[in-house]
Amino acid sequence: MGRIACILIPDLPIAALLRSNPELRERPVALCANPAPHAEVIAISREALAAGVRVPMTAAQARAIAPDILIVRRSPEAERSAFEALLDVSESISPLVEPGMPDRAWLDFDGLARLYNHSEAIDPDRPASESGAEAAIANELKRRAHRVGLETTVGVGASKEIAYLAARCGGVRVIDHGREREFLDWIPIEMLDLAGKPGGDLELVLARWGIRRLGDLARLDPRAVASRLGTEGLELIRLARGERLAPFVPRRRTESIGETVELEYGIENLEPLTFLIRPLLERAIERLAIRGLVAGDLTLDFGLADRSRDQRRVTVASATNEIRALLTLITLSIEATPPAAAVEAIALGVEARSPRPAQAGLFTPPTPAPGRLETTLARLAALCGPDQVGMLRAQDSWRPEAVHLMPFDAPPSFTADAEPSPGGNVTRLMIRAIRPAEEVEVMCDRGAPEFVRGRSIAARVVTLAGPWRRDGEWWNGAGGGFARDYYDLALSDGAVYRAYRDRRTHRWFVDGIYD
Amino acid sequence: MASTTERYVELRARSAFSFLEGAALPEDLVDRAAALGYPAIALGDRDGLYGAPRFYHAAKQAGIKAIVGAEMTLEDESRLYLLAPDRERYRNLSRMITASKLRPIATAAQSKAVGQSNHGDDDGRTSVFAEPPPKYPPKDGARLQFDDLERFGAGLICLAGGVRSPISRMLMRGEDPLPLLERLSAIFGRGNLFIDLQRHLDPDEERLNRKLMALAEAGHLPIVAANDVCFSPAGDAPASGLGENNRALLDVLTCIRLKTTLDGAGRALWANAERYLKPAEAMAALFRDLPRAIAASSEIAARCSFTLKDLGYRFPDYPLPPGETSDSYLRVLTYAGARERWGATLDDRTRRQLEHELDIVARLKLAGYFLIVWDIVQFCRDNRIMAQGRGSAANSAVCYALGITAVDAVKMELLFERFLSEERGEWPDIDLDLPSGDQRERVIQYLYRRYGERGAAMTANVISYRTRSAVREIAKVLGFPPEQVDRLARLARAYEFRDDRDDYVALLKQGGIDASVPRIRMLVELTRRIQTLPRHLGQHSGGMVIAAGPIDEIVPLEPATMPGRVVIQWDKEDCADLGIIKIDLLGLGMMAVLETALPLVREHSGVALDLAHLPPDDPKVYAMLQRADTIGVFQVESRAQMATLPRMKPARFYDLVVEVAIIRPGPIVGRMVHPYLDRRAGRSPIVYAHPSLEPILRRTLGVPLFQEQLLRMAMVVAGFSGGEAEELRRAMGFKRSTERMSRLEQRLRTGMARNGIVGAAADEIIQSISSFALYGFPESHAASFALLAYASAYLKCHYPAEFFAAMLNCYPLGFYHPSTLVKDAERHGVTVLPIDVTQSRWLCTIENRALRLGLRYISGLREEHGRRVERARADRPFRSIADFAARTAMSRRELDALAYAGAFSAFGLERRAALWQIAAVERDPQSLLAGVEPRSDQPALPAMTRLEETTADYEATGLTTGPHLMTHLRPQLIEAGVMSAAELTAARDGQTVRMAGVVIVRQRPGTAKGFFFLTLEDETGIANAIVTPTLFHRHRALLSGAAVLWVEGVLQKQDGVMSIRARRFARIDVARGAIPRSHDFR
Repeated sequence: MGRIACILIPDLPIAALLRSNPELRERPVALCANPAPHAEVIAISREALAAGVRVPMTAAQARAIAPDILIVRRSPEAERSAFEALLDVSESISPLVEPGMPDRAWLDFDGLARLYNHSEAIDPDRPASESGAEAAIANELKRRAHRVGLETTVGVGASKEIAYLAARCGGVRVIDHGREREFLDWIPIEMLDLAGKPGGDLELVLARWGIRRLGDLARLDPRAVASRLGTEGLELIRLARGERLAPFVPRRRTESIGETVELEYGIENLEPLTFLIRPLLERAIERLAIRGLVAGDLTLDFGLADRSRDQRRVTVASATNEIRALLTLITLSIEATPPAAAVEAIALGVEARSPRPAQAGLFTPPTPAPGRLETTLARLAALCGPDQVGMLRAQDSWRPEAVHLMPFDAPPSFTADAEPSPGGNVTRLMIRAIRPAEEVEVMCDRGAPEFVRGRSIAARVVTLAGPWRRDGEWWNGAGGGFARDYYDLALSDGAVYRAYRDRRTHRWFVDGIYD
Repeated sequence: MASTTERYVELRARSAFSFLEGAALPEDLVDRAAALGYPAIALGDRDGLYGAPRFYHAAKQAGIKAIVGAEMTLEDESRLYLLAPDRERYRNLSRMITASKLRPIATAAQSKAVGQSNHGDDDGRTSVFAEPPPKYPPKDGARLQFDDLERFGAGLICLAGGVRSPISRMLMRGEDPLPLLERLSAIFGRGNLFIDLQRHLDPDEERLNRKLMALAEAGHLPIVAANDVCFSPAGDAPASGLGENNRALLDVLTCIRLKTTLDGAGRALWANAERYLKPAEAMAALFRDLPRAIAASSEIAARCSFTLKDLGYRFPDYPLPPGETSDSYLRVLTYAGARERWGATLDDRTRRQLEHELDIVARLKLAGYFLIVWDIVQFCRDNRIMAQGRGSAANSAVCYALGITAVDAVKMELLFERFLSEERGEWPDIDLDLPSGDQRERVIQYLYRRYGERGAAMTANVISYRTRSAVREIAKVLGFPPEQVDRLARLARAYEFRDDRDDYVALLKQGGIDASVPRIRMLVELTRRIQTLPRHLGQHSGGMVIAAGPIDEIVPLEPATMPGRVVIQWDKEDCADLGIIKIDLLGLGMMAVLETALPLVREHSGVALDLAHLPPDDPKVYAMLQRADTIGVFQVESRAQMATLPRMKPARFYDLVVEVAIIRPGPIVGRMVHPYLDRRAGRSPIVYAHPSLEPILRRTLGVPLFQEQLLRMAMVVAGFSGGEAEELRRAMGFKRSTERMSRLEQRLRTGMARNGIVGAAADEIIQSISSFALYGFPESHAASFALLAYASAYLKCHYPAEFFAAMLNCYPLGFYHPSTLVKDAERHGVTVLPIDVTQSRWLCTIENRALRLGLRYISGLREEHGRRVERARADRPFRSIADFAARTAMSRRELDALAYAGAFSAFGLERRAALWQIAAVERDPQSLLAGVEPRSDQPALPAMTRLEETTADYEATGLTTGPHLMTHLRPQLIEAGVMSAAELTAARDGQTVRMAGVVIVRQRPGTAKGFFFLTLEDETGIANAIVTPTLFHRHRALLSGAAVLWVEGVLQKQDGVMSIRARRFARIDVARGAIPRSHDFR
């Protein structure tokens, strides 16, 4: 019979949150699927439990009971990364690991004791008995998990199920060979988490039968149970008797394309850093290329001289294997925010993507090559700041000059307005906008403009239309908002202008010329 | 100036009753119109006449004409604005709206149901509806069709301009609208179709206007000026940066409607703030190039002669026997009833009272109304539905004689004039309490049948924003992030800041929010403003109107959310103001209990009880009430009532009337409870704020407790007329009463000063009156409730088995969980038998003087299956579990629940043995193995302990007939020096005691300054504990969550009322999850 270990992250959602936000460790925290007050709490920290919060209260109830509780949205990313870290830890001990999403992994412990008994990594003073050695390895596993920010429990036993149940008991627990029934007899039925599984009322049925522990179940006649509870019941009995053995299926994790280099000295300048990154990138791209893949987003993880890390993600809008383009993006990223200290280690990760063949339209204007476009945008962002680059789009507003910045995209094609507007079938005048609007002096007679004088205008009003009143954005406070009376003014210089009077300051502006 | 004012009339206005499309109350529009010197103004809300009554009343008060109209949405989402020039056209408009709202939509289910047997509606009711009620489009989904226009449109005045009209839309699309124009012209008639032009300083609109003018010329149609008013000036000049009008509020409403934020709404908001009611001169200036458009507005206004005064509502006539008039027939029925009530010979006082009332009824021509109500009561009696009138009708001896009410107004010396008075000249208000549930629905459906589908309808209920929902919606619109929206809303919940903005600001500061931030200021201000606006229309809980003709000629009807119901577009206040008769049919759980209990008493005790003839002033009943032994007793079972009863020591019926009325927010907030109790106990002298009040307040020892007393006080001390006193009463029961009350207060003070009542005495009287503003209880109403309280107490005292069986059958109702009711029944000597499949029916029954629990208490068991058990057992008794399973075809889960509850014990099976067997039986009745006994393999399952049995009872049925949970813990509790609830009665005041029990009620009332109240139950009874605010905050989690609690504190005893002032607490972890949840109040 083989030996299997199970490493488990109890209460994964909370553990993952605290791993990524260690500053929350002392606070009462509750996780919800969404921020709505009626969302149910799905996990809580120890401090929240102590404050009286329970699952599945609503967020509002939790707040009523513990006013200082922090309600946080559950983060599947944090949980995934905690799970990845768990696999890393597992693989650092045993070559054969079976991932058990989302919170556990099984490790083949067979023979590991002999291997580690000779290793100095394990406490050399401990007796060399097999279970002692297994416990030592399990403890090492737990220690390593702690180093990556995970509090885990480890169980070792003859099967996956026994190892898992042993891990559920907390700490490190090794079930010696031949003592499995003794251990299982004691296990409460709730530990099997039957509630969420198919045939989920099994837990209720067993509770009503007065079956509290696996030992109670093991004593029942399997045939009688099978005739009442079907296959699920029979399987439970086999489990209770230590007979059920789910196969151990070690799996290789998805190969990540990553390259690292550790330096004996720190690098402070960009040029040598780029010089070192280049071969890493080339090797990674080569690995991708032989599999017919291309590079998507890049991750850079710099180990710095002050023992800190600098991790960054470089977005690649159009997946490519062009080394030059990718290297430029990396350079620009480092240029924009240089690492805080000298770099001593570099880990490059490359997201593998399938290449997407694209056929340009025959009648569409040529667009810049994606790689070059990306590079140019990155250059501009490095120069002006990432919030200053993009394209301006007219905002849906009654204020004509209202615009907002969008990420740069292909120029919009011309489309007809879907909704008719009043006077929609009138031939439209084109207006050339003056940005910013030019302040002018307007002489009026009984409120109507008569003469306009500005930096480039000085003419008499020949005819006018208006006022057309526009006001709004009152919610932007006293300084925000606008209230204007617009006029279309045909002046004696032959041009037709759009001018407005700010009704709050009584100043006049010209903001457009009709073509 | 006068000439322009005469010439322009605003014909197109929308109020907040165009839900989320208007930001002005109808009254605000009228006030502004009156201030601007308009002689008339029209209101046309979207798809309805919702705001018309309030608009009409405001206009009547302001002395201007209120023109009625509506803006109707067509199928293509375009809109036509229609005005009613006369009564006939008004009726057509109302019917047109109804036609669009009540157009059934054919559903697959309905077409399938045709030709099939009736299986009831969605709610599973099978007895109420003869056939499935039709389904209608959702709210806001109703659209007007051209057929409707053709049927009802003739003679209505139509304004077909504005950006939303179908004509304008066609023009904007570049289509030719002339054919449509001709069709509309044919529908409304030449001279009734106008093109209205609007000028809001918008260039696009002006381009449209030019096209509309050209079209009007081509079609020879008149034009008219309008301003499409949809908001009003805000009144004061707010420092919130929202401007001087309510445009900001309108923008917010638009965003709420479009489910967007102000930043995201863009051009969905109006381009400027020109849509307010402008001075006539300003409108004339805007249309100075088109004086005929201005003139047309006043010409149209002059043509519209209809106002809601001419509604033509008529109450239905009662079909009379030949040779009888309404008055004579009412007299016959009254005296026939009187002989039943008071015996064959009537004493002089009673006869005089009846004659007096009949005389007033005849003079007010109300005999028909009484006959109709009598008819409803008669229907209830014929169908064994208990009905009892409440409200001011209980002041009438005629109502008592007719069986409408059960309070003997003669004996109680109730004031008939409170019910009917010649001076007031308005319809009386008769409310009928009916058993809640299907019985009440049967009465409602009877009225629909009797008066026709369009002859009866429910009244509406206008729902306004509450602070919390307003803050939530506005904060979202202002773009606050979701977490902050939630936080702001939570802060708002704690405090109703309608009247005092500063305090809310302080609260925001306490919550860590900077209240000086402009957006927060806006939030506060907008929340204040929005709370006065209607949000949507709901259905009133029981108000029905009936009419002689179709109601939809009086007011539009629309479907209610509940199938088979239609509602009118006006609320009950509007109906009362317009003289439309409303009958309240209110569902009352206790009526259902009494209705269920009386036949049980008849059957099992051989006593035919009649509510009206219960032995009066039964000493045993009053002894029980004085002991506060009132679990299950109507109105006096709450913790607060129980704490008052031993002090009050009710000894006669009127004491009970006072008891019902005194524990109300009005008397509590008005600090009237303790003075009354002290005076009653002789601890303080009976004094009157003014000697003139003595005759009024003598019965209540100088303390005003009832609305009637306050009215009389106003009449005596301030010289109010009957009408003014009535206005005061209406203000008291009226949601929008704050302002009205403060106006009335001023009048009261002036009146009192005239009579020399000033200073403290005046203040005391004012305080008495204003504290009743929202929660005053009329004496007649209290008397009706007291009657039910007495009846339920009587039943509990003398027929506890029947009473508790009825309570359990009518649950949910009242204060206490069935588990508490069962234990209380046991303490009253009732043997409660557990559920047994060989005996139990679906409902609880009486079995050899014992109460047998019904199958309805098995959690998860469907009624249909429970009834199937009854039927199968009627065929032949069940032999075994296998036989039971085969003949009832229940699900495994249901069988398990029955076994777990011990319902198979009659087959000689312990619960776990039954569960073991159930797991092996064949459940499919068609199977060859159906009914075959499973192999008798003996299970290795352990038998249940007594505690496990109790827990199983709680889990499977929510209650136990076995030992109380605390019985199992008693040995340990005794060791720990914990007393039982019964032992506490022997302990002395001030003694430190320990008590433990299941928490059945938690309460933190707003009137108790943060104190927290717990009611604990053990096997001997219940006990109360009080927790100080400080301790509550410290142990909040424990006190709010623990199901079983150990409490230590000082015992307080006063006037026989006992409670523990708790100092220490601990959770007792037992039977977690199985114990029923406590009844928690905020």
